[in-house]
Amino acid sequence: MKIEVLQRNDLELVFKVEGLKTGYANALRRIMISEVPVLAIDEVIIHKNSSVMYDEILALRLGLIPIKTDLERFVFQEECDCKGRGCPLCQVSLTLNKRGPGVVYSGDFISEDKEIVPVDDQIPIVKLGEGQEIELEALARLGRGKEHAKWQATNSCSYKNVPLIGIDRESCDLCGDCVERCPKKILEIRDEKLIVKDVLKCTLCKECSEACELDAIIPFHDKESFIFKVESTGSLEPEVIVIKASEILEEKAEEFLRELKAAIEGTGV
Amino acid sequence: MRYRCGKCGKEVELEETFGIIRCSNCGYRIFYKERAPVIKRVKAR
Repeated sequence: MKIEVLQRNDLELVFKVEGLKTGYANALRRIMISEVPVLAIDEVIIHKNSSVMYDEILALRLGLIPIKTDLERFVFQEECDCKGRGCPLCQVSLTLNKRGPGVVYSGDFISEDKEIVPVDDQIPIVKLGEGQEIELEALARLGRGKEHAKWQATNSCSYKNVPLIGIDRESCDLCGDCVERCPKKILEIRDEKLIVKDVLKCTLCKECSEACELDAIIPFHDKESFIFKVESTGSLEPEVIVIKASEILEEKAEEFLRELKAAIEGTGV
Repeated sequence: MRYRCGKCGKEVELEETFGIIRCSNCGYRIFYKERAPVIKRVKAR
């Protein structure tokens, strides 16, 4: 297996993996989407709400705000030593106090933990009129995307096979039809030769082979190489999502092996 | 139960008026029920 990082910034990681089966790639993708834990507001204690928005809708909106997460410091509330009562290891309290007129933004939250804050300060929550008031306490907890989408660590998370473009240079007459038809504009005629500028941008749409009357060009893909594109919501770094997803996959495999061994021993085979 | 008058905004105890719904301050007959001062816990989902 060979891994190469193609693109990386605060919110996005694009990497190429060679020597991987589709099933494995898909397992990794599904775990990244639905099993990587992140913090999200799970319960809201409303003291005052004279805004036009109902408490339940307000709470739902608060739940969808992505929150910066440190996975080293938090555990699931069900697995915590406090037995679900709520302690600094499994829960963070954020308070919101605001009086109208004006818009309440996610940046108005005051967190008891200065590292656990909303990812963006400019997410509008509710618009308050003259004299309207909001006073509430929100409890953020760890959760998994399979329980509710607010706990999803990724925005867009996908993979594709590595595209390859086969060109038969002997039969190609350099007509340039494929260069024009390509929607990604990755083909070029340079020095009397048809060349591919950036093969990874190819979407395998097969426009070029349709344009070619001589069948000199055909795009295909490498079945055992993948390009992953992981986009984070901002709560975790994209590389942390991939690492955590791999660990979860490993744990699942280990659990399977353990159970399988126990089952075989139990039946006396 | 306390209600707020729709015109003058004064808080009125309506039980005192013996069934006649009328603001003791301005005579207006439309009232708004105030939100109960209880702490509400809601699930954010």
